[in-house]
Amino acid sequence: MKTVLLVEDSKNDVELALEALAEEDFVENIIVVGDGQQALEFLLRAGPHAEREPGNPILVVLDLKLPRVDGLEVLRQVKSDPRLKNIPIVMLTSSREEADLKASYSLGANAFVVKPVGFEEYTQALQALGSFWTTVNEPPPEPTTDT
Amino acid sequence: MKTQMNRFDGRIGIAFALLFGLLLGNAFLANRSIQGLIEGQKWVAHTWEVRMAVRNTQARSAKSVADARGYFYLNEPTFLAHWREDRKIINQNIDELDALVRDNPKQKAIVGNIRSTVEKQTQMVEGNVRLKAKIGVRWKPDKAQLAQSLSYIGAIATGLSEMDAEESRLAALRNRQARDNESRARLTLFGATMTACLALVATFWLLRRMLLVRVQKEQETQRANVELESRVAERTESLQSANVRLHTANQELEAFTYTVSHDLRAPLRHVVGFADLLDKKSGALLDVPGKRYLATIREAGRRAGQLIDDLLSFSRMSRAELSQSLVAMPQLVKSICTELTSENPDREIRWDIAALPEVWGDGAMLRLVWWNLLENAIKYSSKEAISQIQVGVDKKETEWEFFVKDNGVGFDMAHVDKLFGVFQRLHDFEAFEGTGIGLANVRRIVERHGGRTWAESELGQGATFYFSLPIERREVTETL
Repeated sequence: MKTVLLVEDSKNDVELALEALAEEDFVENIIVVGDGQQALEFLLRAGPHAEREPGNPILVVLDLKLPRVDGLEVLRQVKSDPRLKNIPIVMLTSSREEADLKASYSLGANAFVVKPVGFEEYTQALQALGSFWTTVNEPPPEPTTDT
Repeated sequence: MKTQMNRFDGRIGIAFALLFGLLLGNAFLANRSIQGLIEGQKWVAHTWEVRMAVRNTQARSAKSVADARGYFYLNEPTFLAHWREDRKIINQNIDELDALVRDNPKQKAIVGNIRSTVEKQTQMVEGNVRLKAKIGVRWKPDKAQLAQSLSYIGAIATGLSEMDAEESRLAALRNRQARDNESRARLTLFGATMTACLALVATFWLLRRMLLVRVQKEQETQRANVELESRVAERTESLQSANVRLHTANQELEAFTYTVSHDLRAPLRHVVGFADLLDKKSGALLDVPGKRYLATIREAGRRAGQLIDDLLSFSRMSRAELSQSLVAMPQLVKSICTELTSENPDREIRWDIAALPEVWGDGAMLRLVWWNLLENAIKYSSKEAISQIQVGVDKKETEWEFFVKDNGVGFDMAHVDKLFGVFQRLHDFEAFEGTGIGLANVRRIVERHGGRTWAESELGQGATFYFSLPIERREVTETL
């Protein structure tokens, strides 16, 4: 199953995101976690996610400001782990700061999207994002265990 | 300080010249005194020479009388030989005396008398010798002859005594003169030496004072240098601490901007997002006022979002580094005009664009300047049937003065100061949309390029916005 991992601490944002993508097929496959720690545990099949089915998500949508482990740290760990580094990561954030933009790309982010204020614009951005990464883009092959 | 030194140098020169003159005069005086002394001594010696010659003549004269008598009374021919020898010596003595006193007429006259008396005496004795030879050994001078002889002897003795007396007088006189000369010479030499010593002391004092003044000046200069250095150090320290404070303030500003950027936008996004969602899902259920309230919430939220975004872009633009390159203004303005024309399809715009130069600057930022000014020109002339927008440039001594002139509503010059401020608006939002950040951005960018911004207008008569940029490439002003 092609899963998308949404890492977002704001319940409002999660609701808006799911609402925006309500009419998309892949909304069923969105897994939401509320902080960086949980995101890493899910990706590494650790903690409460130890029993989940193996396989990487085809996309991680990552907020920058997160409790416990922040978005940039999650990004750094994912991109430096041979098993996870090929997963496309889209930063979805309120920040328009150039410093965040630079830091994200230099750590290997695949895209950087600033959350629009209006719901319509937000919906359009998320739909475009979702349809590109889940439909248009060919996800990377699963890494073999010995890599 | 320099004039004082010059004055000192002049005085030193004078002092040395004086000293030199004094020493020369001293040497001259000493020489003259010694010459006088030697001369005096010579004269004293001369006197003694004359007196010696007088004594010799006296002695020889006495001896010759004795020899003559011996010859006449004892008939011893040896005495005659002796007498003749005496005569020769007496004549020599008289010649000597005559030579010695040639400068003294009185003495010379006496010598002349002595000489003639001696001559007479000699002739008398020779006559008697001849008589004695003729008459025989028994012949002796008679009384008259003896008297004559005695008178000759007396005359000679008297003459010689007079001479001696005169020389004795002269000797005393010359001795006195010599002593006078000597004491005068002593006095002169002492005086000259004392004066030279005084001049030497004065020169030394002057040199010492000059040296002291010079040392004092040097110390003052050194003190001033030390003070200057400490002041520079103080300034550097205060600048460094100001720099640290500025750096801290900058970091705080960064943090603030980040908060605005992220934390303030998030709730605003939720307000707008859920209002939109409410409208989408349950909008139909609301009555007319309810719909209006919801629309107001959505619009106000969007506007707040726009304000935050503008504020962030202004802050970012102020902090972003300027990249310098030669920017072709004609192409830049032309592309913006094309874009704005297509963005406003319902407007009739007449562009009047003059030939523009190339300038040094940040292309992206200068684009923002032109965009804001030209967009404003269209916006504020939108109430006219046709927007007439003129773009031009004036070349000044060191800068280009660009302008954008429109035929729009213009503004009251009383509020010109507010025009370029952040979020300052001279018109209602309902009349002309916008947050009021555009001209603030224009001013910030132009000032960072080393230029100025200003505007002229009359209400209802259109407005002209100016900005200047340096002609020569310059170091950009970095803001903190």
